[in-house]
Amino acid sequence: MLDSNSAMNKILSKIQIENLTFKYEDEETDEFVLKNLNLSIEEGGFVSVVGGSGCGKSTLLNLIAGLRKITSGHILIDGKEINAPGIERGVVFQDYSLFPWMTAKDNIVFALSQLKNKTTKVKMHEKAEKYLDLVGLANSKNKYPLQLSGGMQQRVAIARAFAMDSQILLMDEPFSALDAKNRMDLQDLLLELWQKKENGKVGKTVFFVTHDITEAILLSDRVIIMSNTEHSIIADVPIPFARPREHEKLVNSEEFNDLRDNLVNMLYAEIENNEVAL
Amino acid sequence: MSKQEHQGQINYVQIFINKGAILFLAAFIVTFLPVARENMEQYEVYYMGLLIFLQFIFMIWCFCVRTDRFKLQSAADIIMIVFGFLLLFDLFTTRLDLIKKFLFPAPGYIVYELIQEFPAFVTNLVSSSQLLITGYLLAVVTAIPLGLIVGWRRRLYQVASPISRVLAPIPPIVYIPYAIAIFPTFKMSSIFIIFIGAFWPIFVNTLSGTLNIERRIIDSARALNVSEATMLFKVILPGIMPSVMSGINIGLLLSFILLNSAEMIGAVAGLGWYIKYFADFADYTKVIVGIIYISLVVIVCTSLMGRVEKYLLRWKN
Repeated sequence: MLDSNSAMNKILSKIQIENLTFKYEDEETDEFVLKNLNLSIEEGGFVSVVGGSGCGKSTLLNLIAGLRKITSGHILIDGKEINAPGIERGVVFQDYSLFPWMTAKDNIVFALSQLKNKTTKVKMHEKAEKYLDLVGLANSKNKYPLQLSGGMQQRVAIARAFAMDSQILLMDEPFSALDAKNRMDLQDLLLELWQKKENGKVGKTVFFVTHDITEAILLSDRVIIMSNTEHSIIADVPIPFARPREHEKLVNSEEFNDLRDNLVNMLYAEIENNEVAL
Repeated sequence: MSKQEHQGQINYVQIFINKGAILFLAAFIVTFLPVARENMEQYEVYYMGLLIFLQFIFMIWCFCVRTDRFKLQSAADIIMIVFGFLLLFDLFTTRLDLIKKFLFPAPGYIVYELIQEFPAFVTNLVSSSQLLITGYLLAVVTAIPLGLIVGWRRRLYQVASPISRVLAPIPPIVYIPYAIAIFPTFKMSSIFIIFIGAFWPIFVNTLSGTLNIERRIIDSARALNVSEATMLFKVILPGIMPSVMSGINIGLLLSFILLNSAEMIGAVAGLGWYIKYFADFADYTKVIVGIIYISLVVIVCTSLMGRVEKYLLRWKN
């Protein structure tokens, strides 16, 4: 039973995860992917999750997206339990976010046409072009994903997510397949779009999975570290840097590097623990 | 700039004087040799016409590929083979009369019959294409949705997969005598056979495509909250189109084979019937004419299908 106090808390946080446990149904083993995980993310917050491979961070994202069935526990969005994908949650994967048989523009128009309050075809095309323009791809709108570079594909995926105007953005290592230059450009682009809060609205809530600690600190309000052994969260670190953040200045500052060393140490300690346990 | 022009000039020379063109001239000169086979003089003009017609076509072909040295080379090679074959064929039949007349008619006579039989070809083509189009389209519109749904629904798959593994490998040609017996008209039985023949390859390819589609494409679509119908027909179907198209191509070729086999067994019209009918009278010139016309139809259909495939898969590199 939930008392009224915790019910209040739920309304305050955008995403509320309680005692979340997940293991694969078809596998005989008792291995948990996630075990008794609790997390709450405030509306408009930017939260990154880091952890070694196999710690369940992508699984957590898929569960929030509603793409996998929860074994036990709850995920609440705006206080309502979810068990299926919803249009209020936009997802960007590392790859295959876009349908290769649709042009960049058609990918966005297709997504827009799945919305409940969809508008006319002309308006959807206009909107798609507007967002492609925002990510600097106005000239590539009629190209197919396979004709675009990896960075350009992710730009289209981001344009699509923002064009759909989902309140929550779930991003699963969206920049990890890109080269350093492209990754930096796209990090800046993401922050720029995220900070553009239109007419006083609360901004989008972002849940960002990455294995790159620098990226996590640079982008987020909070960085969450997950553990392979605990199958859960072992640290929740607030990132105090003011916004808007200046990429180069921040990355070269002492505070930034201290924080990063701290987080790296935590992660390594966790990985060593893991090896001892094995 | 000048280098390109230079290249262009070489190509123009190659178009007009290549190995193929030399053999064309050789074949043409041979036609001035005396005719050994009886009553063949009157058909000489048809054979010469064929040579000129082919050379004209080949020149257009060479002109179209003039910028690609390798394509031009292979065009010249193919032209050489065609004229070389015609030259030898003409020598052994018309000029020297070394092989049996009723099995190997002179090329000029074949061309004459080809023109004479054109109206008959059109009538039979109409009759055949009614069967082919009905049976084949019926297979396409049933096999694709069924393959998608069976691949998508686990429970259906568990049932349909063993059934299709038993039925699909049966060569459809074995159904012909029985189908002719159970269906009231020949039309219906051959449509059924063509349908069966085209159905399995399209179904099996659609099914395996659906089962093997990239999981993350499905996840991306689910994250957009698409409806079931949108998932099947706007996400999975275009996503597995390469696999579907290979089923569609195999199905088309099988349809042709089955159509002609069925017509040879039980029809009173159609391209397959035409060949069987004249073979019974030992009129092998008309049999050859039928074979030539059928191959032309197959070539036209498969190249049209190639166009369709290229358009549908234009998103692939």
